[in-house]
Amino acid sequence: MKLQDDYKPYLRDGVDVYVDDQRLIVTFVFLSTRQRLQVKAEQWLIQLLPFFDRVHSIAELSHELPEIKREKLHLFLSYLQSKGLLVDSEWLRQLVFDDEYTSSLQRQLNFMLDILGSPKCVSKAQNKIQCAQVAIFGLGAVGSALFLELLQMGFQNFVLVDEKNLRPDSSDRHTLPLAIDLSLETPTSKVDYYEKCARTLNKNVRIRKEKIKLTTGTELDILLNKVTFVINFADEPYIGYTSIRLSRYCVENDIPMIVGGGFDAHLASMGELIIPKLTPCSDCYNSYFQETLKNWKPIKHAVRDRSKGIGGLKSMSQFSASSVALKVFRYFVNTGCQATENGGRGEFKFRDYSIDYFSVRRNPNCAVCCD
Amino acid sequence: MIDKTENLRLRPSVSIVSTATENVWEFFLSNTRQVRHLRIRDQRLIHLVTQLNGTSIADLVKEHPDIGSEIAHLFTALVEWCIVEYQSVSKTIFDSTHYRTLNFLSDFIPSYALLSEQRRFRNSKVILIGCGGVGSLLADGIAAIGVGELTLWDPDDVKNNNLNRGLFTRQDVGKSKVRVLADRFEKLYPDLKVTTVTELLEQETQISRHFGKLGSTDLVINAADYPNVDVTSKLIFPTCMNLKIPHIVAGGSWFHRINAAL
Repeated sequence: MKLQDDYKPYLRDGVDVYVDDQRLIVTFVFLSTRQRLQVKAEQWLIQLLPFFDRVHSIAELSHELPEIKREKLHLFLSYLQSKGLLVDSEWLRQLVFDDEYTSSLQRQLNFMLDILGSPKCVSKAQNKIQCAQVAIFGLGAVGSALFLELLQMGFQNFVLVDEKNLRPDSSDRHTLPLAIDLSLETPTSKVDYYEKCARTLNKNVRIRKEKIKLTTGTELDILLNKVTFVINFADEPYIGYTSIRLSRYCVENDIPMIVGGGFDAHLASMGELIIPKLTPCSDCYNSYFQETLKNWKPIKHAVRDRSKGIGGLKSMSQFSASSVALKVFRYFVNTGCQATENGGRGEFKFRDYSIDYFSVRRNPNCAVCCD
Repeated sequence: MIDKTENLRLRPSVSIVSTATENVWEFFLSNTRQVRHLRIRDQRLIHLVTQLNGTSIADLVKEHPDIGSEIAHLFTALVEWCIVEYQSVSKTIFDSTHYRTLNFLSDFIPSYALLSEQRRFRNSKVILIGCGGVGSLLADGIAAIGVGELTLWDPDDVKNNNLNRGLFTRQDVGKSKVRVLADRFEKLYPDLKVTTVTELLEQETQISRHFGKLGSTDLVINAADYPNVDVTSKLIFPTCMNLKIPHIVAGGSWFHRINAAL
């Protein structure tokens, strides 16, 4: 589309510009994502860059230029626009969301502009986030932290599934943004508490609370009615069981899902995204682990009740929650990055501050996700 | 120093697995996913380890005098390597609301030293400069591990555009960031002493002045990125170096949104 002469190009905030005068190369650095774009340009075009300041119009910038250079300027500006470097200075206000929603998400929207390149794409992706119906199973330390992060990303339709109350020791690992009495005398259900928190972050949030435990008898058709994304942190009886139950339903009904991390023995793991028919499903993971760990058989432990013998830190739960939140974000923003499609899991290793990552591929013989 | 009369138990978070190599056993510390391999040739010894749930080294030696020195040697090492723990300490952990943190620390700190190390934690002082998106979460993480005193330093009030990151809610908009956090922590962590500073950090002397007020400081964390993290680091760094105070430049600042720590 040809730019109008009264168009005032504006090189957006959040981009640094470096010029190599010798080689006539301009490097644009997107500060949020650390992406770089290098452009080779004629010197007179480079000299015009400081005037892309929403003050000078194309007519003013080009009035002394010969016709051929005017055309080059238009091409240059169109190119920069296509790369998300030139935007309308009021682009945030022009989005379809209400002012409060937009202003609370200002940083995120700028970040998305770096990734997606145009306000139109940002608007579309954020709209997907706003309209998504997300079910979260398990509001433990990691599940609740993820829930808060998703709220902060602008998700606002949830089904929260957890039958438990917060306990005195919840302050050790749970993120608790609102004052609460954690004593056993005044029990507060997790879903009630986090619903209250949600309303302090987004007044338009819609939450269906389900104070139940996921079992073989749970009617998923009813529970997941209209749900478009499922996140599983329910680890009772254990995460493998609940994940297979949910994953089979999600694959059949084409609902993307994430199996969260942060469980005992995986206190800072990074979760697994399951996109039906594209990534491995929970059954694929299960067969992978059965094979990989077939010789790893712990001896029966001498201590019978090990429930209060396991450790954990709030920061590790936060780490797991944030890594899952980023996976959710990547999925909704649809960056096309291969990493969202490959299966696998990362484990943060506290001792040497590194991350172990292993890949898991779809099981070609999987009865659930392979045709 | 290990007390050989203390009853011991295998830590609940430790798994023992036999390996493909004869007589080599894997000890998996699941909290931190550390693995230690031990070659134990005498089957009686590994049997005693796997069954350990409330017996002292002294009693084990008495019951098995023929392998007494091996028992003393092995079980002493298992305590040092955080594979087994004092039963008395495990009871303290069980009764504590901070059992998760204590169990985690037990992957690094032998049982005989755990409670004294926890006291050291409780007496420690941390200064956190910058309480925004990253700093507010950091503050919560530090408070939860049981430090004694936390100084929160940030001149800003909560704004609407802070709500997509960190610990703040709509109710907090317009209030001082450090005040909001201090009020929250007062209720959540009653043993924690929180002090707040709302000055804009502009001069190196401000740092030393506050260190002087605190008496001593164990750790300084810089999560302040205004005007940028390089400038704030240059203000904080010299005093910390002079006073030999460890300090961390946190991540998540402008241009480093998703890094861990520098």
